This record gives sequence, C-alpha cells and structure tokens, in this order.
Amino acid sequence: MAASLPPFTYLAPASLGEALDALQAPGAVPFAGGTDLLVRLKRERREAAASPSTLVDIKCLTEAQGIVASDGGLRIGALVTAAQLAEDALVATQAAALAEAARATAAPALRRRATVGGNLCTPHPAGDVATALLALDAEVEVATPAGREYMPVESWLDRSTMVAPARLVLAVWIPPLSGSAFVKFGPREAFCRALVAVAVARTTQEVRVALGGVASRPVRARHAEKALAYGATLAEALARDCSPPSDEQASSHYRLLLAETLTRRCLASLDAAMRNR
Amino acid sequence: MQAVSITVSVNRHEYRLSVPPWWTAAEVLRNMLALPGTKIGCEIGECGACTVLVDGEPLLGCLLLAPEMDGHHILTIEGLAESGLTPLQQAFLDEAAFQCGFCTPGMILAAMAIPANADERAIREALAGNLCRCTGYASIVRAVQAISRSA
Repeated sequence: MAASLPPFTYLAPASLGEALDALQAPGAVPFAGGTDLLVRLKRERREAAASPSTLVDIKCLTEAQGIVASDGGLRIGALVTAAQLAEDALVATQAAALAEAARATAAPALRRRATVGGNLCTPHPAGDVATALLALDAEVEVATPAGREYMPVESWLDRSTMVAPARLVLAVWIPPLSGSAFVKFGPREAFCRALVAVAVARTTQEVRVALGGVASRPVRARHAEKALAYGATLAEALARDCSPPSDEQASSHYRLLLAETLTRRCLASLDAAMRNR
Repeated sequence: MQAVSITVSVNRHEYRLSVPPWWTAAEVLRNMLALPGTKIGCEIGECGACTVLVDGEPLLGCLLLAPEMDGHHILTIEGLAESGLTPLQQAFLDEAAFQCGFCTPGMILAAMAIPANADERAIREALAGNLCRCTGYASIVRAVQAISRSA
C-alpha cells in the first residue's frame, strides 16, 4: 500500500544549536505537532507538488517548553500544546483569552498535538491562539544562528514567509494584563474554524482588540480600540479596521456584524470578571 | 531518506522495527503489524477513525509519524479485549452504538479517556473529533454514560 506522505529525511536534534544547523539545509522545515504541516504534505503529495526534504523534529528542545511566570507576565514555550494552555492555572488567571482560545481550538486529539509555535507559523485567517496572542500584544522569541530576536506578534504575523530557514520560534512572552477574553463563532459549537473570532485585552492604560476570520490572517482592530476608548461608534470603527471576505459560509456584512457582537460579548465577559473579583 | 529504527510497545508487545520516517503510525499499525482495527478515514485529522491511545492519551494515528512511536506504549482496538470485552465495548453492544462500525475503534479509544464523572456535555466535547456518518451519536453517548454510571 502506498504511503500517504511524500518521502523525507527525519531528524530529531537534541539541542538548539543542532536544530538551527539542521534547518540551514535547503528544504528543511521544523516539525512539532504536525497538525498543519502533515496535512499540507499529504495535499502536496496528491498534487505532485514540491515538498520539504527534511523534517526537523524540535520536540526535544527544552528552550521551547513550559509555561513560567516572569515580571508579572508569562513566558510560554513554542512547544506548549493547546491542551496544555487550556488546562494551565497561570494561563487561566493571567491570560484568560489564551485559555479560551485554546479550549476553542479544533478537537481534543488535535489539541494534544497543536502547538503555540505552530499556530504562529501556519498562515491561517482565523488561528484561535494567534488571534488571542495578538490582543495580548505578545512578543515572539525567535532563535537564529546569530542569536535571539524579539518582535511583536503583529510584526511576526505580517511577515510574508512565516518560517524562514534557520529561524525557530522558541516562545511567546505575555505582558501583564488587567484582563482578557476570547469569543469565537463558527458553524457549530465544537471542532470548527471560526467564521469570526474576537479577542479583547485590557491593561491599566488601554484596551486592545484582535479579530480572526476577517482577513488573510488575524488583525488588530485599532479603530475599534479608539472607539472603545473615546466612545465612538464601534460598528463604524470595525468597518474601517477590516473588509471581511464573503464566501459560501458567510457574507462580508454578516462577518462585520459578528465582529461587533463578539467584541461586545468579550467586553461584557471582562466586566463580569472584574465584578466577581 | 533512510529508514529509522524504533522500539515500540503495541498492545503490550514490544516491537523493534525499521520504518520509513514518512509512514504514519496508522500505516505502521495496519501495514507492518497487521492490525487493521485502526481505521484510516480522512487522513487529515478531521474524522478521528485512526484514534489510538499513546501512553493512555487519544492521539490521531494519521498525523503521528512512525519515528514518534519510538519508546511509547500504543494501544489499539485489538489490544482492549484481553479476557472478554471491556465494559465500554459491552456498553457499545448493549446500546447498539454503531451501524457500519467504521468509527467504532476510534470512538471507543477516544471514549476511554473520558473521566467517569463526565456529564453529557463533557462526553460530547471529548468525542467532538470523532465523526460517525451513520449519525449514531445519541446511542454512543448513552454507551459512555452507561459506563460512567456503573463506575
């Protein structure tokens, strides 16, 4: 019987240095949970398209594991899975939007494999975890042969090639927050892609809004943020923030209405959490 | 593109295998170990038919690479009934929780990770990634609930 995946070389480096070396080779890509990568490889094989020649399994890298508190915020390793995020006590109290987004991701068996790093490296219009990280204004820690680089998650998602050779997302850093919430709306309650997802985060200085499902990747809604701060009309601001696509599942207009409704639900859930404190 | 050597325990038997790294765990189980109980449905992580227990946790065999099996304990549907059917298998029979049976191995293995005190919502959530195209969900949930009540 034919295999479903195209042939490749498999490496499992034990250290970050070895992993970066392995990723310098042409056609080498990082491999962690495989929930997106392996599906893509199977499609490429069916379409007889070119595929990576080497999968570099990074699951042994200790630098990319674990969730630790740091300066009032959190460092979350890129290898942390959606299942771990959903169950972690630190994430629940300090980055509720991220816990909600993880719980809303795919189905249980996929959540045990899908990683934070993978969600940031796979271009997806409505990645739940990426949408939450955008509102949280997380910083991405990237390893390169020249050393570590840090950049806002928004700049990271903007890059046209998300996984450049010999670069590896090691972690995300979540700054301190007063509260955050995430709400997703899809065609059914479980195991679906979001039609629209909204994440809202509050700090002592500002309120931040991120939208999933309204563009080719999750986006910040800065007009909406200003509208919330200065009391302008939210619907008009959201219409300036994005022009959602129309497709077989929902019209652009419907997605905009969802964005407004879900933003209000996030705010209501934040207010409720504040009252219950 | 070399084969890799792995040592894996499948249904309490230890195997030393030389496998192509691009084979999935589901393909190793079915084609190398002649264990066809693990079904290959969608192959892209959307149907749950290939669910196996890896160190007790339900994972998808179609999205797990052969080299990742190294050093782990895998349980397939063939490994459940050591001396007669397990209570969960019996409950599936009693509740007629299958028609064509294609989703059943994955459904039963996914259900094995459900805690005994789970309510209906938690049961449905735990099985959200396992599709039954005969739409026998009501009887499947009843079978899992029967186990919860007797536990």
